[in-house]
Amino acid sequence: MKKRILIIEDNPMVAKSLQFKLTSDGYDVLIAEDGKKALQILEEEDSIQLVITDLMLPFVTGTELIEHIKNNTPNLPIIVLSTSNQEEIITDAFMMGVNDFITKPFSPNELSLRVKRTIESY
Amino acid sequence: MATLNNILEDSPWILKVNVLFAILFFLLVAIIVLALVFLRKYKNGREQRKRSYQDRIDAFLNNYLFDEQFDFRAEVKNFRNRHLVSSLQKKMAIRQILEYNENLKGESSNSIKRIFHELRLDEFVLDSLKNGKWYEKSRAIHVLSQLLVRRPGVVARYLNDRHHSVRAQAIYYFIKTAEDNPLSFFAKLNKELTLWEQIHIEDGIKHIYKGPIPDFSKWLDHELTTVLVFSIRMIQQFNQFEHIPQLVPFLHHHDRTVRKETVRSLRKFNYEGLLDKVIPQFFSEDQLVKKEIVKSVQILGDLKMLQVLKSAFTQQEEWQIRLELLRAEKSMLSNLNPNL
Repeated sequence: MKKRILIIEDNPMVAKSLQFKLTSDGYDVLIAEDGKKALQILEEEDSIQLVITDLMLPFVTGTELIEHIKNNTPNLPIIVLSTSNQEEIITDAFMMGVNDFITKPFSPNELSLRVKRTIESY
Repeated sequence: MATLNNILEDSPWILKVNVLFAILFFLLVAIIVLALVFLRKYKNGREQRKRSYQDRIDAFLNNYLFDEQFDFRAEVKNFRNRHLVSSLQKKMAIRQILEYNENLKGESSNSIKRIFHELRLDEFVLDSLKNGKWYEKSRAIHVLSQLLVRRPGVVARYLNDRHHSVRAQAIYYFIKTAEDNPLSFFAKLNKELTLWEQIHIEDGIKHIYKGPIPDFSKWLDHELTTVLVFSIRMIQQFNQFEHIPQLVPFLHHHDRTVRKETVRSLRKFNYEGLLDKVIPQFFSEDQLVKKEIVKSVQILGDLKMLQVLKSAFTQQEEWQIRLELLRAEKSMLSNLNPNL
């Protein structure tokens, strides 16, 4: 059975590229273009095995979303994909319990390897 | 209709005019409403076509980037011949390619740059650079710099363009695409740099250019005053101490802005010989330079030196310099005695 990944990204280009790459890697990919929709999918779907999220999202921010996930499904791994490369933001994200932090611009091949590593370690 | 005609025939002329205007008004309203409906439908259709075309470009680019079965030669040829026909299609494809280029790095980013050439979009951009309006030229140079298309000979022509936005993009192009000499474009400049352009270049060298820091002293013999001022400032900002001896002669340059920048830079370098060279020329100096000399005495000199200047300074009309001297004196005195 294919492993299911939820991508939360408001940039359609990035979302489509990630979906294409991860689908070709053999994953089942769901896309949410904002935090509200992501919360809805997380409530409806219990088969998600990894969340890849941006931090700057409409309606519900990435940070709020991470908090929500860590409170409700603490074992669900999270990878942050963000344009921010400030040390403070990266440290805060890891303190909140995210498993990996990737900065944009990103290498799809590198991201694919990190996704594989994160999923395999859970 | 016949009844209406009968009524109108027997009516006074004022009623006839009113009816005529009412009919004209309703016709006008009907035309406007129809036009609005048509425009809305046209716009929606256009947006729909744009969205579906954008999806097609995305699908093509993602297939190209991530599908191992992608038949490069055939697919590129097919896409170019079928979906890159109109100017709008080419512009949209370029916009998407730029977005991919901005968000992806590594091998994917190189592939994106390659597909731009393979789709012959570089030819389209170069054409719009030659024939376009200022905003098209500006946009075209931006695309060339983002995708690192190395055509410095072509872009150099726009360094002295009439429109500031085109000039700014041309400058950015040279900084962005440079491997080791980001200021090579100085050789082709024949228009003075604006202050914004100088800020823009400094920012570009600090944040966009990735190569070794250039030797700014190479431009100390440039014929443009602003290039000279910029180079002097950069020598100081990048701590190129080895060029201090080359800066000293500029204390006697004929242009006051060059002398001002030299005094300021040498002061920031804490150059010991500065005061000996500038104090003798203080009274004959321009106000702009005098201010910098007073600041230099405050930082590098002593109170006695400042008081000598102050007592000898009798030009009533230069109240700003007098004020500067008083400020410097107060600051030096309070440094000597913090209780003052």
